[in-house]
Amino acid sequence: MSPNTSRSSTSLFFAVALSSFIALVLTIVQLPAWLFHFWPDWIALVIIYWALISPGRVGPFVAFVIGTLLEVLFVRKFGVLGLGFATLAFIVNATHQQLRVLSIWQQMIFVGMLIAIFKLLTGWLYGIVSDFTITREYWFSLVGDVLIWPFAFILLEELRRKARIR
Amino acid sequence: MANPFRKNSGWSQFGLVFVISIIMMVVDSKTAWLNAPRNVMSVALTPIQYLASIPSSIGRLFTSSLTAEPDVQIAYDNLRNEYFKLKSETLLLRTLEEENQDLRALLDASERLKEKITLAELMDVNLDRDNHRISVGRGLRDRVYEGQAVIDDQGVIGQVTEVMPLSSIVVLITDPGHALPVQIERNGLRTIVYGTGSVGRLRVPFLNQNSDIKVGDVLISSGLGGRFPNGYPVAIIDDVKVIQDEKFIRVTAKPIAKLDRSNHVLLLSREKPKTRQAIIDSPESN
Repeated sequence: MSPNTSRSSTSLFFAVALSSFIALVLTIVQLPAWLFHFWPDWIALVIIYWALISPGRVGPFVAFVIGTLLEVLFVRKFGVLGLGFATLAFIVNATHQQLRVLSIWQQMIFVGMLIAIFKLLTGWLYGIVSDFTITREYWFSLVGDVLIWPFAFILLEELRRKARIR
Repeated sequence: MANPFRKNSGWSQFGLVFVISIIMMVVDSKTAWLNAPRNVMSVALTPIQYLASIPSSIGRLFTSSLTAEPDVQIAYDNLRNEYFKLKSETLLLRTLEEENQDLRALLDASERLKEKITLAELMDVNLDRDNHRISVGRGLRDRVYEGQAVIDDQGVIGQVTEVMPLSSIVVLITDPGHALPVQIERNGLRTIVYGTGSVGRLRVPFLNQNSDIKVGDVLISSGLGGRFPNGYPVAIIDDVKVIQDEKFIRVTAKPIAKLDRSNHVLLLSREKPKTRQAIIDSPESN
């Protein structure tokens, strides 16, 4: 491993850690009632971005670690969100070449579909391990995800450029 | 050192994570082994909660510093009036309590348990929109224990399900997985109230066609099951639907407590059995 790639690896680590930290804070910020159910799933957006940009390095394992942190914050049963995010990262890794060439509008649609798969999987698993029922409001956050994706994408691109990650 | 950012084949990594997650799910839902690591990590993640609470505390600071003086005066007068009213009611309560104790002694009934009340503040974080739970700022440090009943100034809110060092998680009575034994205040009919998953609605199944229940009846906690002390208001019946040919009638109720609006809650804890014994013993020794 040349020193150049190792330095890039370190800066990737810090960029992923910083963006996940901000996403965790945004996830639990207190909100007015009208925004509550439409608030995006920030962690999912961050994971999609990094899994898309550096598929060889941010994969299921990193997504699982971030998901476990979110489970600690939410005080939920362990394992479900970790598995959900790992699946999300795995799908994005596998299809990153197709997703990268899409225009921003097409990307928005695909982000909505990917997070819908993630929410379906985790909602279903929570139904098994604890008392949980999927309500109509459960799906409202998809609207927020799709609408916020272009802005999140631009901000994370900026972060990546500053950190000189290729 | 293993570097998680190394290049790796996706399938093997995903397979490993899949197995780990399934093991964690099974272990966490069957045992309590993962609670200790969770507690340690929750303390480490406190900065995130602190950062997330900054916007709402700034908002509160603004509203409190911008409140006009006449408003404060009105609020103060209202509070003072209420204080005197409650104070006078307490005077009466003491004599009633004594009378009740004497009557119970005459009937040879066991003494009503006394509850200790701890005030707790809600944490300024949006815990979880998919479950009906709130996070309160009292934890192991304040001797909160699992299963403790939580009320506000109007009625029952829920019970403690998860205790961490600095905070604890309260599941609300509207959570779809929550059930609470109650009785109707008017006639003492006992039943169980279930959450529905929407705030402001509870369901009361298992009442048959000839049950004496009508719109406007108040449900109070019955004390069965041993978690909630009896006599605290829970809900008001707001709809009774009798459908012919169905074994049970369909009853829905509205919670009395301000589930989504209160900033402070009260944790009820049972007094230690030892002190209770001392109270029972003391009249005999006199």
